[in-house]
Amino acid sequence: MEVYLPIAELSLDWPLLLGLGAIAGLMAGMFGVGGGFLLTPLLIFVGVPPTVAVATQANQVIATSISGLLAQWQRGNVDTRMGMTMLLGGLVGSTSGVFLFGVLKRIGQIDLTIALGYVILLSVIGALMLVESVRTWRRRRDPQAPRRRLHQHYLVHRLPFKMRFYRSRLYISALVPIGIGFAIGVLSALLGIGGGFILLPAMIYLLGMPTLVAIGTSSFQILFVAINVTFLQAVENHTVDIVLALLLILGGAIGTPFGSGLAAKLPGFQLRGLLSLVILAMAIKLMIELFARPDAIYSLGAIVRMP
Amino acid sequence: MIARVAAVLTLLLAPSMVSAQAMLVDLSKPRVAITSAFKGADILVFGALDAPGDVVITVSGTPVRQTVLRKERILGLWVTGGRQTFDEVPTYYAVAATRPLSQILPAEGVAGVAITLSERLASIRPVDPGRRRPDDMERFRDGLVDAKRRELLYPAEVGPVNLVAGRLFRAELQFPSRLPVGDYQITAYVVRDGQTVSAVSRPLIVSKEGFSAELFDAARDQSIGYGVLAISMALLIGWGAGWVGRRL
Repeated sequence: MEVYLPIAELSLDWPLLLGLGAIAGLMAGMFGVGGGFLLTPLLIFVGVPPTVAVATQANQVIATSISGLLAQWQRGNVDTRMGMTMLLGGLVGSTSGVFLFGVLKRIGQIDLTIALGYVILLSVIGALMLVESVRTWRRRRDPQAPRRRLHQHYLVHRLPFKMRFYRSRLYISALVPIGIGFAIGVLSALLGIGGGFILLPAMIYLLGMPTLVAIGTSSFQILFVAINVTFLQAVENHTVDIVLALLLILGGAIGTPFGSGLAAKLPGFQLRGLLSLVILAMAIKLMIELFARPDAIYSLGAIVRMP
Repeated sequence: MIARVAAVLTLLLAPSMVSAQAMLVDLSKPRVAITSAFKGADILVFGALDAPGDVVITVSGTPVRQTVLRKERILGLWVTGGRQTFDEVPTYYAVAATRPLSQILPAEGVAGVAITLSERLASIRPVDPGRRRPDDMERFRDGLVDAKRRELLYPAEVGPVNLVAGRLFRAELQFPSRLPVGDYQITAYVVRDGQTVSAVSRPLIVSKEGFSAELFDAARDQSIGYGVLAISMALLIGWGAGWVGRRL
């Protein structure tokens, strides 16, 4: 049942890889975010080199975001002007991210960067999800509990280069969406994530976009950044494993419809609470690996064949 | 295989030809193809001697420039801190012999002939040797051997060579699944009285083959096309799955 991954240069069970893809798909279906932030650490746990896991993950994000974008487009939920503005930052950010990835790879620090990045990312996401589900649970028991304000804006309205975004009903500085796009772009390149779970709160709470438009527009940004990252990783770092990507994408295609079905039936906040614990556990596992004494102090690095 | 052994035997029995060579050597296969299902390979080295003696076989992978990384503890984190590059490092090295090497060869080795791993590694050269203290350099050398040993590329044990009637020899060489590609050299030595009296080398080509090798090459040599292919595949399947999903 093993399949050889030509770029990762190892053999793995293909049902396992389909399963990992299906888990990411399930996540995408249930919560509307890509699930890449879970997939990359899982791939690293099963032995895929972190550089290959990250670059291949970007390839997988393309598949999960295209159908979402098309569906949102038909419903008119994509603010193209906002999408283009964010994408401007996203393309610059992801391009510089891929080159930074290459530099870190050459100096031998990319694995550490990826591991640290995921420790921080998973801890923050896990903690936020846990807090959110506990809060929902409390509010359920006590409907009178105070609600948070939906959004506040200060900075967004004071910066220059103001633009009108009709569909989002906003008149704000273009610098903010460009900056958000840039930051997510860098993260996408370094960690292989689409970034929906950071992007959506930023668009809703920081920019003040209507939720539906934010969802549609975020998939616009995620798709094109993922395409840019996949292309540049393939050309610059040669780390996209097309066989691995194919298995993850097929698994995802199977998992997504089940995820949407499950989301309708299962109670959301309990599920999110459970998931947040899983995410925190993964963050702790990655962190322990960084602090534990490695089995081998010396390892083999790059080989250069002499002419 | 049997035909080949027979051919060697025929050569051995023709006295005029044997006098020209003290030893005849051949391999069961001249190449190892690493395909997607590669789980290691066995290569038979066989041959004949003109007079009784011991046989030592060395297998050496292509000499390459190899970087060795060292993890160091910084603020509690284990990070790649030190690195040292060596030239002329064989990607693979193994030895096989008819008897334990200590019984065949003098302890100080044979002048001008590298047989054991440590003799072979005596010729690897550190890049920028002035930048590191000698004892630290030694640690990197040991680290290189340990790392190679973990990947089964520098087997610690000397493999067996079977000798029949003091004249015919055969050795089964076992190569691990993570074998580096390149041109390997298999050398057989005849040893008598602690001296190598004859040496014959045969090349062994290890290369990636099949669909996965083509993908690996394409990712490097046609990276633009490879990237476009990866993106198109993801777009197509993602779109198709969404289309099917909306109709279910």
